[in-house]
Amino acid sequence: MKKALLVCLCIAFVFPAFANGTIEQSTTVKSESSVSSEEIAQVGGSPFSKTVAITFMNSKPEITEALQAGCKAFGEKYNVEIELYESSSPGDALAKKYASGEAPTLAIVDLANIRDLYAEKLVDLSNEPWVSLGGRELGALMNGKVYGMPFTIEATGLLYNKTAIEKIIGKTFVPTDYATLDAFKALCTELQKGGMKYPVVLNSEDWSVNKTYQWIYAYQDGTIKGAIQFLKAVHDGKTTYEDNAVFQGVMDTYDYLASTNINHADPLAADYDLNASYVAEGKAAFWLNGTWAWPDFAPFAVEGMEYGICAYPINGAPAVQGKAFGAATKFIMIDTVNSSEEQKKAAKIFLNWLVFTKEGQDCLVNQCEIVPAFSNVALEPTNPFNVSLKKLINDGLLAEGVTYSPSDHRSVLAAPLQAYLAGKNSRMDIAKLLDEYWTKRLPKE
Amino acid sequence: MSRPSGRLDETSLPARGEKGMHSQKSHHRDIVLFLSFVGPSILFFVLVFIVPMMFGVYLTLTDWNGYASSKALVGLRNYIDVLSDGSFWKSMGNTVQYSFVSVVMVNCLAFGLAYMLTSGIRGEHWLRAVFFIPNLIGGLILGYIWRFVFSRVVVNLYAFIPLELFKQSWLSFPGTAMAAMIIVATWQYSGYIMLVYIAGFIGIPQDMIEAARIDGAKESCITRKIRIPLMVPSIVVSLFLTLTRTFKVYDLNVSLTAGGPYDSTKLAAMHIYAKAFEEQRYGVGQAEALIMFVVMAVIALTQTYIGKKREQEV
Repeated sequence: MKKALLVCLCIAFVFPAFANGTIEQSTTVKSESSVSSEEIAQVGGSPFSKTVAITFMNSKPEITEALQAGCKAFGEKYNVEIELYESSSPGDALAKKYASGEAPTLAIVDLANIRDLYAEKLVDLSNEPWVSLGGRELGALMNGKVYGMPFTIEATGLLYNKTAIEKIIGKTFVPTDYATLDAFKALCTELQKGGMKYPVVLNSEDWSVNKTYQWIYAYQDGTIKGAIQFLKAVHDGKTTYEDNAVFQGVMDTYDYLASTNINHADPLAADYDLNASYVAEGKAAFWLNGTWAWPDFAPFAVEGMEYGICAYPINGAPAVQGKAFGAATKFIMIDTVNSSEEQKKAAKIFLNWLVFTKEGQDCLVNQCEIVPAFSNVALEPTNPFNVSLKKLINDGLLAEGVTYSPSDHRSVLAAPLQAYLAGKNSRMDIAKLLDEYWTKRLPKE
Repeated sequence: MSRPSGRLDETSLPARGEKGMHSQKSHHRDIVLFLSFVGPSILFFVLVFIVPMMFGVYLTLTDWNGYASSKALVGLRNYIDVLSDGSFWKSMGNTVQYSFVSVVMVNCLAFGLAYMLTSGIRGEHWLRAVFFIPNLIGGLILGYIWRFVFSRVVVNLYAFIPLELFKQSWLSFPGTAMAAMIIVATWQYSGYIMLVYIAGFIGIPQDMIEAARIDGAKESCITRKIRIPLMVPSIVVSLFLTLTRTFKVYDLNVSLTAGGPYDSTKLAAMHIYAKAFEEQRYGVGQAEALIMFVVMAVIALTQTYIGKKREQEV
């Protein structure tokens, strides 16, 4: 009886503690400010007198550790406790969090997530100070308002091992010299003669294979407008993929890449880490991927070797030849439904801290190793892929990225292209599938 | 203490008015007693099963995307979409194929293991624990471990055993990828189902077996005529458990093959998850989940009904 009473008492005491979803945090009262008045003016707020707890969802798992350090540095200064957690599927995670009333105050998400959420659940960030520094041009703009701060610019292209290529060809490797498929084929033949039997590496993962389609869209004329125009024409039945020269050009290149793929014997068994090591160590020269691959690539990178990113070679498309494509690929949103005014304020200060303070910029550029979208950030990128990306931007060799794909693009279209890679589908099958897909859908504007 | 009799003797009967009141009180007390025992279970059953189920059915009639606070009713449009969703029916076909072969393999292996480990061999208790261990490993981890085995280890075997089977990764071809899924499921579930069969074997009265032996029956005859008929309740439970587990598998599917190669091993649960959460078509995903539930329930209940009819009284 006593035991039963004890259990009941325990339940009676413990349950109310969980009733609000969290056990109450102990608060720290900040007695004196360690932040200069100049910084307070920059970030738009002074440290909180009592600890403010916020949650932060990160959908770029490769930077979690670095971001955690940044959150800690900001938190200690401004008396904000940031609980950082990661999820590689931000859409699923947010749906669950909103359903349970525990949405994160801050979240690094994809553009599609902002598109789904902005109308009801996100804070309008249009009046934030970073908007005028590139935040509007590259941010998540919905109905003329900014709902997502652009977090990082990333490019898709062929990652290359410059040192390994130059060792065989015996001269400086200038990527723009190999912007056409014909020139690229000649280069690969030279590499093969020099002992690099398979100079190309292709991934097998559905997300990576799915990106191949993006070359067809991005290379229509290098702009989002041009791509949307083409997709609408397909939707209206005015053109087909089979008749599209860029589609044929992209597929010609893909066929060649597949034939020189180091994983050609079993292309769907390709392993991402091994792929990274092939190029990093110089067993292969090119890897069809993007600048985000550096954290996976870095452990295999050989000291003294130079790496970079270049365009997807294509014949007969002079407007885009030599260009990789890229855009802001991740955005930071602030929740307005489950977060208090104080939490929202803390989140806004954190974003300003990232953009305007030395510590914040260091966190972005040196620790997280990303390319920020803001013109005031003068720090040079650290990793070779981002250095190369910055050069592409400066040289005007970055076509506009693909921001208009419907959310089922990967789940519907990736598998047929995997089958194509394995030789189970024809180019005509792919063309018909794309026609059918885009006839039923419109690009998301 | 003697057990109270269900009947009262004449002398203890109350007067007419008193009797009515007493019976009313007793009826009231019965209800309170009933509710105090069954009430919490019913309440939890309603809260955790009936309410979500009904809410799920309601969602199938809406265009909800998983985020929006408003949901417009769309009637049966989601069900019509499901009927025309070829990839869903393909994944259902994959699920039926995977479940059927897995159920047969898991149960045959588990039955054999249980028979062996109740026959008095040395170290049988230790072996029971060993065979049960795979069931303790989470499906995701299990999938990643076996992914490495089928993609990296198997291809290295080709150097020693030059069979076509070992030439390439098992996960690159639809047939071998499905076989890999079934092998891992069998490896994972057999130890668990083995415990159910062991309980069944232990429950068989030894005197019947001894009597059969004295009558000169051979072991195979004893197994066929005594053990298996008396094991029917265990078989029914095991079939039900394996069927429901394999039908709704998701973790193993994601981590071992990720539905590949080219969606050939995508099972229904994985397709439904993608539809609801990746494509943000929650209503359609929920409708597909409901259809999968009905198909699974019909198959599972049919086999349970048929199995129950074959149960033997000891």
